[in-house]
Amino acid sequence: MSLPSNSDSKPAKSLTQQAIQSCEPLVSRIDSLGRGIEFGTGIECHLFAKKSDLGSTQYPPFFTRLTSDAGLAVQIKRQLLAELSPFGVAWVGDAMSSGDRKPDESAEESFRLLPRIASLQLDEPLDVALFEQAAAIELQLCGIPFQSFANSRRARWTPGLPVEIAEFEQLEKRVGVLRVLSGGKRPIGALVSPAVVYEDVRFLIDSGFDFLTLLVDVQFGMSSKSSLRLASLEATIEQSVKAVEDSGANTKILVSANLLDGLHMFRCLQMGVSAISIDAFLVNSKPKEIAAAKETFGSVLSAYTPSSASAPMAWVRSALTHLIEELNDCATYAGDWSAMSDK
Amino acid sequence: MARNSEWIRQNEPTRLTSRVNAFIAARCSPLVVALIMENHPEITHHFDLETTIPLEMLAALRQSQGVVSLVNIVNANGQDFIGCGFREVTETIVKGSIGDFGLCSFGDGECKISGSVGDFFGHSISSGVLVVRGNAKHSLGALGAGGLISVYGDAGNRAGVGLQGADIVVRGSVGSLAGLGMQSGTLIVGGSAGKDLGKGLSGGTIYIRGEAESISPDIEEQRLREPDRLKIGMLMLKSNISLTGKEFRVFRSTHIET
Repeated sequence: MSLPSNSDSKPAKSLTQQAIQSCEPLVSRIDSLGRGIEFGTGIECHLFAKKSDLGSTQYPPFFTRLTSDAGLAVQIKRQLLAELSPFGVAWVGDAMSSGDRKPDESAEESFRLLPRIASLQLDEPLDVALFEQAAAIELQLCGIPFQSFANSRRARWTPGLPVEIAEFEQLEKRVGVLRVLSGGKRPIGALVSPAVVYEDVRFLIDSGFDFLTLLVDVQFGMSSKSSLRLASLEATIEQSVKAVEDSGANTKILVSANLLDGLHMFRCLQMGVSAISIDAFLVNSKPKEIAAAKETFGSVLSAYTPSSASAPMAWVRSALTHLIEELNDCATYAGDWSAMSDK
Repeated sequence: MARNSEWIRQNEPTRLTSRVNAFIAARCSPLVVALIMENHPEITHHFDLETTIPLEMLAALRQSQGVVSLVNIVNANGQDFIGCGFREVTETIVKGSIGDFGLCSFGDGECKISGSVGDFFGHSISSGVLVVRGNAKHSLGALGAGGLISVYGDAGNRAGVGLQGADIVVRGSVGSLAGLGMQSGTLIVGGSAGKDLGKGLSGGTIYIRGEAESISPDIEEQRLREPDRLKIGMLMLKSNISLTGKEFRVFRSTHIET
């Protein structure tokens, strides 16, 4: 079954009365995320503990890397977090990144608003302080780590060796040590770009990870138009979910892909994904006057001045509100989803 | 005298602590003593690993209100993850051998292990001193950013892998790929080394006393200078190893632009 397009959606009046009655709210439909599921070892990392401003108790399973990867300035980052916080969107990254090594009190307060997923490179030293404030830990197993302390021109262009883990049998112990260092309370995950999906995912599940983030699309300059799809989204999700089911583990699958609307996101959730990245959606939702300035998400900063702090990010709130409404509608209609597809 | 004090430190650490307290008590007024002890209460932990798991040890340390002056660990029996996340513990004594990822992310203190250690011992060490009286397995001191690891026996493959500023002293020999991907720091080998010494090394220094089976083209031998001798001597002194710096050869990266 292919991912639904926007034309597949039907108005509520076209649904049968029985279908409407069988509908359940989103919170109880999407897996059991909203019911405070035991995530990994017990801490919700990508979940959302707050009521949204929409007056309902929907808990959208979202996460974003934008605050970490887009190189946002401290002020903008704080503002983005403030905009995201009512929706309970978790974010991936290091509190010490983006140059704000000594955040002031209010920035620190902003960091506490959302559950943060601390990401860790394979060849990065294990920093206990990094784990203490994170809700979850994500080990990055994809991409080539480049040497950070290159002292020659040649070395700067030489990819760093993934030297630390020489045998993959050591991965299980690596998960174990992360678990001990984080006090055994935080879920440990991995960021992977799928190759042989079933085998890879199965192996990672057997290594003891609590959640896996599948990087299906790579976006250059954070632009959804110039994204590179590494694998088929549907096949990746299908095989990953099958691997989880076959293993009998409670591992959660998170997807980072070029998903631009609620319908596609809902379809992913329906296929068994636990949470989805909204990076592409946010970038795509930028108003044209901002988007036209530069290609990167960081272009939001170009017109930024402290006096007009609230203006550039107002669209984030409206875009997220719209997305949540869209997801809610999808969940409401999902009771008669197959009938809708047949028509 | 030095040997005597060392013997006391190894065998009677609790008595030493009490002697320090006695010294404070003799020199200071009772009020000052009371203030010192109130603000800096000394906490001692004793863990028997037949009844405790490493996770519980770390939890107990984190709950401690005050300076943890001594941690005694007995019946290690080669368990993994022992001493992971130990920080600001003045002295840690481990009786027996420990398994993989021992003393991972260690900092600010001193730890002595009477037996041998497994893979990834001292991973991500940031400061402090780790002393191993036995041998170490593979990937000793991986990604260490500071501090000193001293091994009295031999070490396995990839000793000092990805080192980022820590110092490692191995009195015996090391296996192949020693100093793999080193970025900074020091690796001192008192014996010989296996194949591909210094592969992928981009910074830091390797000192070796014996012969290496093969040397990677990423490093080149350089003349032993006085600062090198001083550095070796200082690290040997810290490690309580009686070797001088003059028998060693020095290897550094071939890619350093001068």
